[in-house]
Amino acid sequence: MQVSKAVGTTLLRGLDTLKSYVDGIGENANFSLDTTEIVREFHQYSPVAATASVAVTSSSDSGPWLGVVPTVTASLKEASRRSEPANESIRVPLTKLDSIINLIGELVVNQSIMSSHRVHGTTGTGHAIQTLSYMEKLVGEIQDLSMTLRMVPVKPLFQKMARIVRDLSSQQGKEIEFLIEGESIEIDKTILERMTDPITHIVRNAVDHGIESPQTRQSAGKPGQAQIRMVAFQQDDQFVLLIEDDGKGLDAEKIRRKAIEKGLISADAALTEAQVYDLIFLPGFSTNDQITEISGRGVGMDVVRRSVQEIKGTIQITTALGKGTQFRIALPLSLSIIPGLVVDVGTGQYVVPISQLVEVIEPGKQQVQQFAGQNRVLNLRGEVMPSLCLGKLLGERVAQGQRASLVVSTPGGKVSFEVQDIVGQQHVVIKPLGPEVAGTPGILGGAVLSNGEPSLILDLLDLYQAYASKNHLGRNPDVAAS
Amino acid sequence: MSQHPETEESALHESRYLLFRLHGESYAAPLVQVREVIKVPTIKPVPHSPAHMKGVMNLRGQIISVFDLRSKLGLPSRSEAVPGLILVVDTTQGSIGALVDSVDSVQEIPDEQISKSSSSSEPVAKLTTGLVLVIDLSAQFQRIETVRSEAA
Repeated sequence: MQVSKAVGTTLLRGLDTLKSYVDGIGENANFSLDTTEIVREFHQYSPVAATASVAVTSSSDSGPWLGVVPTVTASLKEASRRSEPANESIRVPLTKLDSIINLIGELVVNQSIMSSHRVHGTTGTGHAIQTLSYMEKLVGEIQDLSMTLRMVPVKPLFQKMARIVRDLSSQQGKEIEFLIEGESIEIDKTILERMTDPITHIVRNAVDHGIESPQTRQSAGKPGQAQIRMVAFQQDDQFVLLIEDDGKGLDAEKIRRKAIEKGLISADAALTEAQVYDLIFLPGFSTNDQITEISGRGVGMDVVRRSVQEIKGTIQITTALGKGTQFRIALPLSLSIIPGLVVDVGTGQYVVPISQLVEVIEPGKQQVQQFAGQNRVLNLRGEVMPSLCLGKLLGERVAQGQRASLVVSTPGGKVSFEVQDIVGQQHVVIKPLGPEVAGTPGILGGAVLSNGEPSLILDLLDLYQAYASKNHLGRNPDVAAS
Repeated sequence: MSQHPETEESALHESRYLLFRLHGESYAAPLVQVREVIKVPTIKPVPHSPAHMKGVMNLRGQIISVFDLRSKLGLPSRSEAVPGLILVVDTTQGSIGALVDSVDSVQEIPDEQISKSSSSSEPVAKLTTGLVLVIDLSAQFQRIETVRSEAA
């Protein structure tokens, strides 16, 4: 027998049927499912399975669940439902667990050595100091290793996307080759779970809006078979996911028109190309004239960006008309610990997530200029951006004489935050804050500094947004650009 | 200072109160509500927070909010000379710290000695040393949270 696409579809449907059967039985022991159709479908390929059909279909007559042969939409619905974790648990390789247990064993031994130093009054000796530094090393290793316990490979997500691309493309008569790279890259389980829906949305959009029909592609001189590539890799302290298609790309002019039509920007707004593409992330924006079942309800991309931002990630689009679109999603590797830069605003120290910083500079006098009305700007190699005093933004009374600038890329362009001093770099554990602080704009969480003192982790993007919306600028790209 | 076993919920413990001072006046709080009393550590002020919120502190690795009980109750703010103490109070939304001037003692106050007068919102306890206002700390900080969330 030849393995064709049709065989694959039948097998996948069989799998779906089995899954819904197992799920159904899990919920209700008397569950039954009409499998006649799927069994018949299987029979097409098998000449000798006539007897099996009796056994499988016997339970089907009285079932309340009639005629459920999973269709494409049913399996998609199910896929999105599955993304909710039914039971919070995680599978950890035994080797990982063993190495942590070993390290903790060593830690206990070391701790008893330290105790004996205390008992014998030899805490100041070289030996004791050596033990202490070994202890530091152990604690660091245990922390690193225990952080990886939450990490899972992205493979299941990729597989899910492969299925969605397969189902959607055959439903829409499009030929798509789905390529994946880096499926063994690991990411925090919670991040993966929270990113599944947004990524599904981007992939569906790519199939639905991005990729043209084979005829259109051929007449545009492109191969009839389209490509969607999903690449995961780790860059510095971030997990990066690229989703690229070689479809028709985004039409800047069309987006502009649509945005003007919907009143999102004014007709004479001067926007850069990147700012135009950014418009698709605004609530209520959809360029597709026809609303399809899969996507195009205009509720998508803003939710996608919000979900990415909620976990302190960033999302960028690059696109070329007629050539394709690429989404680049950069996410923190972990939700609970982040690399931070400790800065002094003049009245106290705060932590800033390094992932938000484009660069940190010590500007010379001529680089920062003050105009009338307290507006300062920073000239960074010819690029001019607003320069805000971080201490003042935080409502603190700070003296003049800021020595460093933190450059941050916001949706409306780059912004610089002036601080008194850079204290240093530190991996900080994000501590939850009480409800009375948690809602404060610009505050991401609490942290304990290396000297044991409490501090706050700032969200500079959020802080700038709050500042900008208070001053009626920035949030709306129209105003930001004018 | 006063670690209290929460498992024992006998009537005896229910009627025990922690007496503390604010602006020279004595106040009482149900002892079960106070997890511990600690010295004032470094407090990190939180930008744009209400006046009664002193900031956050590090309690053995947890970052908890610290409130000034004086300004919460509308009393004049504490002079810097008073070192103060922090009562760590468990609320439904995690622990918080309540800043008080000093702590006097733990006293048993039978229910009969507490009058829930209709005119004032807080009940008053009659002690041999005088009258003290009984503060329900959990309710106080519950209210802060709801007011904040409504405002948000």
